[in-house]
Amino acid sequence: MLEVKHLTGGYGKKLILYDINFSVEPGTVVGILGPNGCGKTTLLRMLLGSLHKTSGIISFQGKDITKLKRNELARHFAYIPQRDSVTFPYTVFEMVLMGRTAHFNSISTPSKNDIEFTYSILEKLNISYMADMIYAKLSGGERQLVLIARALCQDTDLLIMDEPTSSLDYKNQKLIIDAIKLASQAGKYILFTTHSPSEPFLIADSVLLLKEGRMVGFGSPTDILTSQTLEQVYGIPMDVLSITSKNNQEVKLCLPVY
Amino acid sequence: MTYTVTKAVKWGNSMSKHANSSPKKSKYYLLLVALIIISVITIISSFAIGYYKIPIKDILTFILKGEKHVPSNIAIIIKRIRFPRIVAAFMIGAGLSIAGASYQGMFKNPLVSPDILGVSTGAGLGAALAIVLDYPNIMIQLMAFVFGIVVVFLAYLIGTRTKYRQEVSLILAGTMLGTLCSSFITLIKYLADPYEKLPAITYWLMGSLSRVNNKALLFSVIPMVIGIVILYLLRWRLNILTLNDEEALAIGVNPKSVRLIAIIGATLISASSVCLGGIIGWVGLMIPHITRGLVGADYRRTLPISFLIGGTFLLIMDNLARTLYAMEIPLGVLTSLFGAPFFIVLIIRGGNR
Repeated sequence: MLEVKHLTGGYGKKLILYDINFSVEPGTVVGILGPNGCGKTTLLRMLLGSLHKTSGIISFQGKDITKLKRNELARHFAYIPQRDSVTFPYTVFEMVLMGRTAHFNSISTPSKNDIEFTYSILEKLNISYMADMIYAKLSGGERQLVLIARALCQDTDLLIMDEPTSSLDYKNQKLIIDAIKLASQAGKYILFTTHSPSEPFLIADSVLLLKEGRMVGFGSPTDILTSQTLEQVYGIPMDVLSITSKNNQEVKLCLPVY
Repeated sequence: MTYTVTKAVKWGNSMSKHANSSPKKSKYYLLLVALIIISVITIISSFAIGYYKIPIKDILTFILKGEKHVPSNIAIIIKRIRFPRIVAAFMIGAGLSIAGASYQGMFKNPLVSPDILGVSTGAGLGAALAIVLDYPNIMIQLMAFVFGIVVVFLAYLIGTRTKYRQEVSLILAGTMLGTLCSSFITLIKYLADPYEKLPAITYWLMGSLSRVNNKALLFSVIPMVIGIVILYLLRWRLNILTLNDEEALAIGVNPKSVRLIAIIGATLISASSVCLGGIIGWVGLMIPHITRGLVGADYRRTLPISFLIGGTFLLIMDNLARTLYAMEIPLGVLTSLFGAPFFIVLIIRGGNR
């Protein structure tokens, strides 16, 4: 279990996050929602250890993560950044293989096992055909899938995703959402940030709602995402609609009222 | 390790059908072997070339049977004149190429060269000072080496003062210190005795291997080999350094410490190259480009291939430098004459590898 208690922190003396509390059970998906500048990225950075917390506790499976060594942490937590630009012509296979780095020592190179493991991940995500393609030349959705593959290759218990579906078209969004579901079925903990309030209804088991660095609520999306809380967070009137989709499922949608 | 294996079984079921069978891999080994053969042929034939022509037969006899089986004057030329020069040319070319390849990756910029942190201009300043102060040759080398390293050290201290995007501030600090050093060099040249010291400084800065002898070689090759070994051991981590710092951290690599070690390795190489052969530009910028075009970006392949291509390239350039014209052409001038048009072609073709 991942437990975050009274987490406070920011950059230097400037605090961004105040008193954040939540916990994540194995195999669950947690969405972190809030408007721009609410501290989503800061929270991810503190979880990943690239930013030190000011106070509070982040513990994973009973261990204080700030006491773990860099490569130990990398065997527990994997990070999936928003698609970035890559300067050099790495192949998809090489990009994904980089995820194995925490599993061997500093002057080694990937072993046969690492290579086989990487191929098996590509197969799991149905992207084996991309293995020899140049990562930098892929489309946004494909890149995002490769970054997910890299994180899965890191073989961690927890995946941290920074706005995994932002600026993707619907088809690619579905690809990413399927990959998230696949990983969560394999028993991974998943945390993702989003600025689309409808998204947690689609994939998240719980949602952490943030406003200006403070938490507004944590719980199941139906409990937390109401028109009152959303109005409070976004500062404009919001509707939460319930509709029945084509495949007879009840779907919830959050819409701003302009 | 057990951790890896057990978890791998959990995810993967169709194992080992891919392992070691990729055509890319066999293409790489083919290229590697071909380049090794080309390098060896170039090295051996370089002994034949020069003002005094030596028949290939004598060179092979020298290598295979020993120096007693060739005329003594030929043995002396091979041992004392050609050997140090050929080894120096190959090692400088090879070393600068892998230093350049490493820097391009860690600064995430394919236009970076090994002297981006000011090592060459620093070394140039050291040498210029030593020449003006009338120090012996060995001191000129030593001062060049030490000044090169000190400038990089200062650039590192300044560049790492910032918290984020250290790659950028390192480049800025290196460039500024380089500018500072070259203004001092200009000042020294301006004040130097125009009949003796000024030409010596100018010639030193142009880059040439004509002053290399076995003693100088021994002095420079040791730090160079240490630097090459350091970078080679880091080859996988250098891949991770091409990612942004946050991703590298999340993958389990501390980019700051790997970067520091790589800078130390690259600086040992370029400082000893400069003190051996002066400022020889373009090799460290151009060769990694060619290599990436051939084998991609993965440093497990880029480093060995850059090493071989870089070494062979500079050796051929140096052979041209000493034979093209009655008087020796400065090597640095020749490499620039090749390097600049190469980049113009690259720009026209729109390639950014």
